[in-house]
Amino acid sequence: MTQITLTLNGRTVHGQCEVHDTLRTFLRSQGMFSVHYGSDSGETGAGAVLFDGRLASSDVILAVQADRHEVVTVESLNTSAELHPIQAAFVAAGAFQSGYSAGAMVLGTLALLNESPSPTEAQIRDMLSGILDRETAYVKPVEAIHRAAAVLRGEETAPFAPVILPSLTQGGEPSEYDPSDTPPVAPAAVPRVIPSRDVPEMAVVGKPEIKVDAIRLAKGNPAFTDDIELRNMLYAKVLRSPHAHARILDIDDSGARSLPGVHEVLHYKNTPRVKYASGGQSWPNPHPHDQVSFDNKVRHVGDRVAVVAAESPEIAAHACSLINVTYEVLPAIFDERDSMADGVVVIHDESDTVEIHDRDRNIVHHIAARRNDPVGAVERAEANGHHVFTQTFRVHQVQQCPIEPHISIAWLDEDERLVIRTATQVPFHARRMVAPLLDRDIKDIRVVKPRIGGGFGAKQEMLIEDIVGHLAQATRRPVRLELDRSEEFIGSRTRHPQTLTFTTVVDDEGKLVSQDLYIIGNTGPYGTHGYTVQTVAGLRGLTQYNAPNKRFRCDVVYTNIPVPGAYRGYGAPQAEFALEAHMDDIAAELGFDSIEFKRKNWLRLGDELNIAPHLGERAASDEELDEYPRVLSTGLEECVAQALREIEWHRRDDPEWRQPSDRPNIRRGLGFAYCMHGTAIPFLDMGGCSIKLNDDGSFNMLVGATDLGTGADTVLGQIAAEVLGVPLDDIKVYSSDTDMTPFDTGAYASSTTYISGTAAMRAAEAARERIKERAAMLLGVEQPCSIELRDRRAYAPDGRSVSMEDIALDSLHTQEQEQIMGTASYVSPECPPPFAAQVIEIEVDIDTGQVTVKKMAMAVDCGVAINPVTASGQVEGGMLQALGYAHCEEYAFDDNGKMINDSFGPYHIYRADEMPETAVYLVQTMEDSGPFGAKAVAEIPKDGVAPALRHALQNAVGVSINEIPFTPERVWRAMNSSAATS
Amino acid sequence: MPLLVGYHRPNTLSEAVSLLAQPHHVPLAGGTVLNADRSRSDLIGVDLQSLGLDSMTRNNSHATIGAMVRLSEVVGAFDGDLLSEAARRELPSTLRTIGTVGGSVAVAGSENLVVAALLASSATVETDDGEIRDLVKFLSDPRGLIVAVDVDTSGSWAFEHTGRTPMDTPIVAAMGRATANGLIISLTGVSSAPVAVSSVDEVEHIIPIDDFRGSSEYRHHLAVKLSERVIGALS
Repeated sequence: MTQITLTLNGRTVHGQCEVHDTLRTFLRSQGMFSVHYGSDSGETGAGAVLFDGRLASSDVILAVQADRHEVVTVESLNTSAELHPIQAAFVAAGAFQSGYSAGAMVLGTLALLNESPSPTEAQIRDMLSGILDRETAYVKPVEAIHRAAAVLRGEETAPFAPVILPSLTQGGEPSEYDPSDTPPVAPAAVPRVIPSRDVPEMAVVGKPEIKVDAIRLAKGNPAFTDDIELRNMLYAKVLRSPHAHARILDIDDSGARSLPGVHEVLHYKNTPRVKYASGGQSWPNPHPHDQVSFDNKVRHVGDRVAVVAAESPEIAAHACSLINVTYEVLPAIFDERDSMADGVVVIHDESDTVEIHDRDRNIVHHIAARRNDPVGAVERAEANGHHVFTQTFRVHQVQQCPIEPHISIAWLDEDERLVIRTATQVPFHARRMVAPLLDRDIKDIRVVKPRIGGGFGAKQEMLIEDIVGHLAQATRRPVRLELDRSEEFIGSRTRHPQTLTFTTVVDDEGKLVSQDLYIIGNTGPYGTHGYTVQTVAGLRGLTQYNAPNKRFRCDVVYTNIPVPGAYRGYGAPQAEFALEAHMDDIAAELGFDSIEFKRKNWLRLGDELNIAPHLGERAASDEELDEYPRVLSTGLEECVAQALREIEWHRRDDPEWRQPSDRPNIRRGLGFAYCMHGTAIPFLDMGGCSIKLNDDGSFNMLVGATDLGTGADTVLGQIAAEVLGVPLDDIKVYSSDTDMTPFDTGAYASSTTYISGTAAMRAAEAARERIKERAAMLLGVEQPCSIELRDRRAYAPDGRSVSMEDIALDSLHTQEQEQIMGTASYVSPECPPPFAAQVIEIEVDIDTGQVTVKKMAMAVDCGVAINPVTASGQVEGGMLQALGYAHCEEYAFDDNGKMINDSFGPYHIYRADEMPETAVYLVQTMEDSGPFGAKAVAEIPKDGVAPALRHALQNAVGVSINEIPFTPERVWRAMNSSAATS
Repeated sequence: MPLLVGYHRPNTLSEAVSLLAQPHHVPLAGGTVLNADRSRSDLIGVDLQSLGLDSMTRNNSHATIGAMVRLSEVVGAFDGDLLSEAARRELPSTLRTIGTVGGSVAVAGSENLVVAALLASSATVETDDGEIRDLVKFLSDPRGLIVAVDVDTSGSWAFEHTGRTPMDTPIVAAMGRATANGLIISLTGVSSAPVAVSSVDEVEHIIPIDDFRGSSEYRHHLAVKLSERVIGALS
């Protein structure tokens, strides 16, 4: 150990460290929990601190290098209960979602404003360039820094609130596009809200309330999985496969076990073989259950081979290198189009995996659904004078990239129950799924989900909880496992690659007669979410346009790529890219304007969702259906009108704009995509909530829903506050802990606001009824239903009132004592679709193929946005991820299936200093099935960017590319090919 | 980080050179490369931070940049110049405050924009033994501990690049500086280290590397096209 001395937050600190310890490790050992891990190479910035006054990633500074230097963390600002003005500005602007990198952002702002009290936007974005943010698209952080600068200069700042805009349409009918109507001027971070007359004014719902977890995030207080210290903690490291496909003939762990500091080594030879499927889904998890904790076969580079628990991460890593594994390397296959060939490779040849559709051809599932007669429609097309169009598209593999990687810590509590503190989106599923693997009853396991640093689906999985569980049981000591960034790429979950073929029949009027979608879905080596994601792809690909005949077929196939799973959008981004591109090309072929052609066919109010009931794990046959679900709310035409105005759509046909005379190598283009998504999974997703009244009239609200940074806790609190007539600050939200909180299926499928929100509303309503009873008793009112709750008081019809506190004290202490509380749960029979219009502006360098995205705007009908600031943040962040999918993110492999770009940089995600301009419109509609009219918002922003970008490319340079991402060489080759054939 | 097993922070250049002459001892400049490597090692780091190599001097047409000058300082000191633009693009904000000029030259990866900017600026490298060599020669035969880099900042410059996104590490970048002594073009993304050329003809003869971001054919096309643009901008 080496002794170092440094100045930390203004005080001299003496400490000891290993030579190889990073400054981040040292700071966390000193209790500076705001300094987070994002990667070893420091480019995430989650661990950035002020090092001698400069913002610097503490991941790549050794603690010994920091000896005799000055270090400042965000904890230095936490000298009182009050927030520093910079922290306050971030909170006010809704700039934190998960807040995992909050400390770095605040410190960077502090340094920037010390140097430049009035920074330019470029300076702000340059400062943020080293802090990767997968959640906000940097829009609100930039606004927060502008506002903080103004406050520190002594200027007044207006409250951060939405801009309210008038509607451009009437009654859901399309409006005439007016080129002279200029878009509204407002900061990018401000949501543009178009209210609906159907939505009443409310006290808390619909307001830009401050997030309920704002303080802890702004101050960098210990809130995340890793932010606890347990005595005698052991550190786990997974030995991963170097081969894409191999049988493990033997493992010799003696070398590892003899290393001092090693406490346990687990692998297939000493771990029970219990089959499971890792996808975090409702019971019973879909078959095949094709995984075990440790297998005698590996099926992708990065697959689990063994795990070590040791006194330090370094010892554990060293021990992994001492495990001697004898492999029989097998042929591997990576492309889903090749996987079904006879006799190529059999990826699951073990006998104990059952319910594989066609094992020898690696087909996990064959999915089929149909409405009427699509085959006949094609056969009769020629005779009917109809047009038939068939196109195939390929979409690729990308990663969710939460800045907080997967991390779990497990230990045995005082009752020897197993506690797993884990970064998960599905704590209740994780508890149920891990139990048989650990040979424990569910009742003997407690899963605690603290604040999560982003998930986006990657954490909708029981991914590493079994490993820490096994090790904690074996060693009887706390065990921590955190994936490094490379492991996050190769050993967690990704988006499914797919090959999609659409066949569409269109009549002369431009109406769809039939639509057929065939998908080959690549689920990698394990089924996990493979069935459900492909089903949703079929649902999304075949729902948003009316056609009397529809068919979906899908082969879900095994390959040897890193494992795909859930990723925000869940099959929709793949399908909607192909669908919208297909529709654009049909329109062009038939001579229709693309939007007009789509409008002829898109779903309107009252239209049937006519393939939906036939898809999914609980699909219905025609005979079982009384009627098809229908669209009961849509603001699509308003979305289209607002989006086209924002992007100044008329420029699309202006040759002078498209080909700027002063930049001869540049072509410009505009693109549009129509998007439709779902809200939760009907009859399946379920949320629970309980609310109890406290002595002072405040409430504790317990929810099983998992806030990933989306603001779910805030939104659920707002719903309860609205019902109970109190401010949001009186609702103390706690989520989620399988011992303490009600069940919830988890954060996925755009379900939290709609499902868990309805549960919160109903629990609050139950509490409200008891409060009214007590208030009526205190006020001498005979009809409790005549009591109204508002402003923390209960009012009688004659105006007399009693405070919520008085009601609480009376009920808890004075007469006929009772604990006023409400509990409720909710599962929905509906899946109301949100709608959106996505537009995009690009520039293309015709010499190089480089595409530069200049602007993205999305207008979303998400029903009533319970909190317009958090809702718009969801849209901004979703568009950022969607842009990466369309433009620059991709997995690259060598010939042996090893990922060659498993770090940020080579795998490029958008930075603050290169983001296009963005604008978000929230078009209100009243969805009667949702809490206070709400529908989903979190996933639909993932759906439209890729097709809109393709549409813009067609406008700019006239090429149609059926594969993403639109990288420079791909576009350059398409232009060359187009030039050669024209 | 490569799990360093030892660490020294010498106070003099001679002490550092003496340490680096010993087996397994490696120079530790900022740490953005060395400390980011997680592989197990038997390396002993020799931290250069106390050697006084962090100063810069400038006159009208030349600048001498100490090896331990941070890229963030280059950004500020050379505002409006190619060096500033290259340093800003080379690393994001939280790493350019750590990465150094000397470290960039020592590593000199294929895509290193700072090294390319130095090449275009007729850089020379001074090493611990007092020897001063052209950067081109140093890159082909890297010997000695880098003490400082001297650059010509006169004339006009141009910078062209193509990447997946605006701030992506360029697949290929071309930079040029036109001075009284002529025009030098440098390229990234075509070879194992940035290269300097004097004409498009030379570029035509390069057979570039390839990877998933760009094939050799595409990189060749970019190198020629971007070099033509740089020359066009400077002529």
